[in-house]
Amino acid sequence: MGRWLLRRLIVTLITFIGFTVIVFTLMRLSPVSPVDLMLFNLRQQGGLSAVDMQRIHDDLAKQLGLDLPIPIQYVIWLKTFITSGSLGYSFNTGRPSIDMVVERMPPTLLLLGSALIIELVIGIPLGILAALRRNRRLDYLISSFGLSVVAIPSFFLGLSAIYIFSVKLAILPASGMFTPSRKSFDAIDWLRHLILPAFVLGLAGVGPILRYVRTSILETLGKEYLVTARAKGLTVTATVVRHAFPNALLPLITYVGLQVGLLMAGAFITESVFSWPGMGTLALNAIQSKDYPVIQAFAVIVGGLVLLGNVFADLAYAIADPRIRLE
Amino acid sequence: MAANAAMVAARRRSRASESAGRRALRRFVRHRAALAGMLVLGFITLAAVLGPIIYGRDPDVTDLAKGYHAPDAFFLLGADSLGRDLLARLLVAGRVSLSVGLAAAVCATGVGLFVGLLAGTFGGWVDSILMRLADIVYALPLLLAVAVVSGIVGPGLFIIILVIGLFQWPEAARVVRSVVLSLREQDFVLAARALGSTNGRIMRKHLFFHAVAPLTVTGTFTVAIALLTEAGLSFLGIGVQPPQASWGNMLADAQQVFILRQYPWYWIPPGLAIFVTVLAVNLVGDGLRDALDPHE
Repeated sequence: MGRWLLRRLIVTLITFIGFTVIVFTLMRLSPVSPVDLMLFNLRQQGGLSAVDMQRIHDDLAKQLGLDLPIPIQYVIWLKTFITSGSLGYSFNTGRPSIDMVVERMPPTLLLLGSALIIELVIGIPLGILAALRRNRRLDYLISSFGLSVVAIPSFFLGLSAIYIFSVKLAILPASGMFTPSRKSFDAIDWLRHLILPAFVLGLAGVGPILRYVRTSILETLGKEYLVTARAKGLTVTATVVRHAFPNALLPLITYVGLQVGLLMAGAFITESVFSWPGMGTLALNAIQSKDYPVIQAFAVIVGGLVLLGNVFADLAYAIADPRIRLE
Repeated sequence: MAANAAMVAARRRSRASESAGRRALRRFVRHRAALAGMLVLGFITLAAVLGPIIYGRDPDVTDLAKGYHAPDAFFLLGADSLGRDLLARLLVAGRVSLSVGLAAAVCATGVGLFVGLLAGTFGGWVDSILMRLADIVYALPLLLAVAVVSGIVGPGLFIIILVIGLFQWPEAARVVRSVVLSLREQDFVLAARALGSTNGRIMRKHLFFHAVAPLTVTGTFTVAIALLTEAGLSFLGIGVQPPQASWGNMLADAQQVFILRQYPWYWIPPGLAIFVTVLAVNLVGDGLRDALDPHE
């Protein structure tokens, strides 16, 4: 187990480094040079002559090693990131871009977590039900539902949800995380704000999950150990509950790990529709205002989170399924 | 005893015939869904290609006096904030959205085909590196990748197509690779190799055609993914740029509360257009997969 885990972590680390190469290359494709990125605030303040600015610019370019070959530049970039945790300073606020992204993480993770729970709580039972009622009307109904939620663009679903629940019925708030006028923390108010975005984000994932559960239960039902369980006299329900579900649901762990990326992408849109104060709205703002350092920090952190999600999924799978560990 | 056996046999017969009937029904329904998807898709494509010509109204002509005009005999779907005809825009937007979806899917599938053929045919370290790369790219959320890249390089139709092509290929590559691996040791490939065919010739002449059927399936689903990605980005204002219309950016105005509240006819039609198109594409994809699946 220890060695397996270590190997997995090393592979993930290499993957992450590969990912940072992609981000670095992309930043070099941007129309702004890294020196201009760093001097942006200085230039904004003014007060320095053009000649001085140029001298500072050239000195900095040399210091940053911009006259060096690109691969060496990358190593320097990575070293700065690892040793000082710096990915540049925001053009808009002048603060370290990575801090800005990190402090927006909790609302996003809260939204993701709630959406994931909604996905599983709706998707798993529906998938099981569809499998047990295979090719009957209920199965078709559930499968159509799954196909529909996958095809609805999340922003359209979000706008429709606001239209119905906030405008017409006026029972849920349309945007933000809290009612601004409230002074103290109010859990109910907070939950009411969470419901719509979490459901909109979660529903999109219900389709793939229920389909996945349905297929894997149907596959498991054909396995020999289930025939054995039936042969020793267990009822159909007991067979399914005790033997089919645990084995069929096991691969779902890996699937959930892969969901992290999809949920991140979904959150990017959902947060914007509901003005949810997470990483997504920050990143969209940064993209719209060309705040390159923040875009860079966002890309690196999202990449890291997605890879972490995969590692956790692998780990959970290994704990749940001894066959993996012993390999 | 004999009666008992007869009863069992009869029950088995009836169950068998019932399940066969059920299966036929299932296939019928499934294929009917794929057929319906095909028809809807055909209709939408026709509307996008010929619609603007038949309807003949300029989608970009503004008339501020007619802003937020409700649907009537003249403006069949109403007018937007600038008084532009929403039906004309919906039809023209269809052209943009469908072309982006199709072009991006072709790009992604092409890259996947190339990578998959290389990895499968050469094997060894080429295979390891390419498939490891596929794992990395697969883990990245497409929408965010395209958003970040167009945020850095600048938004645009071409960028969206290109970036979707560069980030959505791993699935196609895996499909092609597995086809190649299953065929690599087959007699006809070995024979070709024995006759002196190079790897390149074997890929082109023998392996490529076997990969076409499964690739069509992945390619179809990629169209749906590309459509949704473009729509999402355009909705957020970092995809297709106004005044060019796309279904996604037609909904962008509805982020203003008063439009969302007072003019539902403004934002519902383009949303439905995306939904129906993506649903139809997915149904066709499902139908193709069932039709082409050798296990069924």
